[in-house]
Amino acid sequence: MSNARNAIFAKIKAADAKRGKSSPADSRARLETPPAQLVPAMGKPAPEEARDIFITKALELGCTVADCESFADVPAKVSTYLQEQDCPGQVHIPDDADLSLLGWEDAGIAASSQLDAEALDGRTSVTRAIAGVAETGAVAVASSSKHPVSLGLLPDRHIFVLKVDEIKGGYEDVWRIGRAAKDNQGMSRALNLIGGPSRTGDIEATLVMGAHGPRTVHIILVS
Amino acid sequence: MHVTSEKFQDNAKAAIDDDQLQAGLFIFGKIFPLLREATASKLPEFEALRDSARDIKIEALNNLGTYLEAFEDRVEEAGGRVHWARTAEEANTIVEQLCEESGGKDIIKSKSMVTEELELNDHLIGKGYNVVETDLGEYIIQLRNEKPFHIVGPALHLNAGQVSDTFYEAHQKYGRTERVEDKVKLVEEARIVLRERFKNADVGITGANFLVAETGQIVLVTNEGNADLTATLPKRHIVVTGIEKVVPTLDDLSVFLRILARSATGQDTSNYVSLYSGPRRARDADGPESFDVVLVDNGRTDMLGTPVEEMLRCIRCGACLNSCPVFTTVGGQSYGSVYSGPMGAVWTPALASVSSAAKLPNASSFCGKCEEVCPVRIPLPSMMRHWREKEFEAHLTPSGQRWGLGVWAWLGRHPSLYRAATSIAGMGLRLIAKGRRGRRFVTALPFIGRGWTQSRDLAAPAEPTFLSQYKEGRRR
Repeated sequence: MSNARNAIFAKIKAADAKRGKSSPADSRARLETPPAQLVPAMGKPAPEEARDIFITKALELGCTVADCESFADVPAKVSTYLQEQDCPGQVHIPDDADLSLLGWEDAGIAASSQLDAEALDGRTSVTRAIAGVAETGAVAVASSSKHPVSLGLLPDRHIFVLKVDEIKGGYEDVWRIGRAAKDNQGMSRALNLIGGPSRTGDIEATLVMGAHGPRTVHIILVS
Repeated sequence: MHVTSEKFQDNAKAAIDDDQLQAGLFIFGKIFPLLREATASKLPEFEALRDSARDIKIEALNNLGTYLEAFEDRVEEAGGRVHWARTAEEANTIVEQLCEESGGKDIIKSKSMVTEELELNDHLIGKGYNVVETDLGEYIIQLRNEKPFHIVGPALHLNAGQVSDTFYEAHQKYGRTERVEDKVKLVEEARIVLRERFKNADVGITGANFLVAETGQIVLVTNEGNADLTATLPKRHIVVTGIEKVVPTLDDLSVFLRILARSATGQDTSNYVSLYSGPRRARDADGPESFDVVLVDNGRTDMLGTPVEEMLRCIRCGACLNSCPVFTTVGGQSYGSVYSGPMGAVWTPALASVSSAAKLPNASSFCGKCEEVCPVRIPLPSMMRHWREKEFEAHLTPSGQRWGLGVWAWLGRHPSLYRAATSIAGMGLRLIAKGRRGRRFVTALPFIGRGWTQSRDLAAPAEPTFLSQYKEGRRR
């Protein structure tokens, strides 16, 4: 298929020659040092306002949000949420010390590290996140050993544990975090911005929650 | 790309008489534009972002080779592969070979207009694969064996009753013998049926809304999360997309993320915005074992350096369709092409041929609304005009129309005759016009004008004419 590649690039080069507008050196420099683009005011809120804007936007997206003093209190908050939702005291958590070392048993919750598709169907997951985005109310996650992407997709309920200082302004802040975590294979395999429960408007444009992914998204904000 | 655009007029007539379809078109023609305006008005920088988006796409197209090479390098660095396809046949063959490597037969797909353009599903099904669309709208039209009605809302022309009938028939084999009519229950039924397909799929095929040259990431934007399941659960992830989707950097991507959902559905953001690069890493807890990107030309490089190059800026938001008086009257299926509305009227002749798609650039009132709402400011009307010129040059225009244009051009070159003819026509029109609310209208034109006044009135020409006033003014 290198024939196809050569042919496509030959046509691109021919068009470049015709237009005389290409500037390969400038373009490569743009990739090396990406210039800032226009960022709207809502993408860079004042740091002291980011938390409240994030909460408002997350609620607009259909999330629920709870406040929590410390990580140690997370299992109790999860327990309260599950009771409100009339769900069994069972959660699936990733191999992440932030979560796995918490006192789940004391809060009356069975925490499982089972991650196969069959086990997650219809369940509740609890995961960490890399950022909350005030501009949109979305929560950013990056795939890793601590974050299997399917934990945010297969369960019926997804609970994020997010630290208040992880709340950022806009998309650019997430890119900054992603770039800083690059290794010799580049960015993480998956970088997801999750804006509330899965939904569809594909039948008569009526919004229905729980299309393919979680039906509810709950955010526990640890201060 | 197979097109049946020559049947446009017959299809349009049928669509106008279809009351149920007209009810569905209200969503596109009224609801989406209202939502778009409401959300855009809350972002003061919306217009400035549109300018930036246009400029970024111009930069990306001016340096397409550099950015595609960078994208390819980054994908390979991440452990993925990039494949190049000149034509639909080449693209379909590459995807088929990749599916064959997987050793399995079950394929799940997330909505992709490029794969509709390639008719990839038909190709794979013909080779014995089970292919299931997972975007709800695409799933519904796949079951009904239809083409997408609209690039964003493929099944919004159907009502819940029709979806109910479709599911009732298709889902019996899964033991679901009860008829479901409620929309929430219909979504639930699709969720349950498709969840099993997700869990058992061998290959996941997605498109891409954008490709980021800086990082080698492909960007997927959905509300359902189906693209993420497709990109994560099967052991193979294949991305099929057009070469024009590349943007230089993540900072550039932000500009598009801020205008795409607002222009498409009036949302501030889509619910799932996802960036993927490469297969599962050693440290990853899940993800596919392989990651292949098939970059498709299929006529795109032919548009570079031509008057329709700007069409390659399109981000498939559908705003031009929703704003178009023609699309919102006749609907997507009338166009006989997977790309419909104003963007389809420019894309289709470029990707198929001027001869097969000649009707589409003519299906326009040239009101200019499409250009007004296009987030990347594509001059759609002037490009439709370009295709009309090509059609005329190729002698594809109907003979009556050519003859009429010839007469008009001849008159135009003989100003005194032109003035005489128009003043006689003006007198004639004023003579047959009838008064209504202080203005005068012609309600029934004779001869070939009859068709024009069948559905609307013609305002009688004003008197005195511009030319006589102009002469008068000069004398003063």
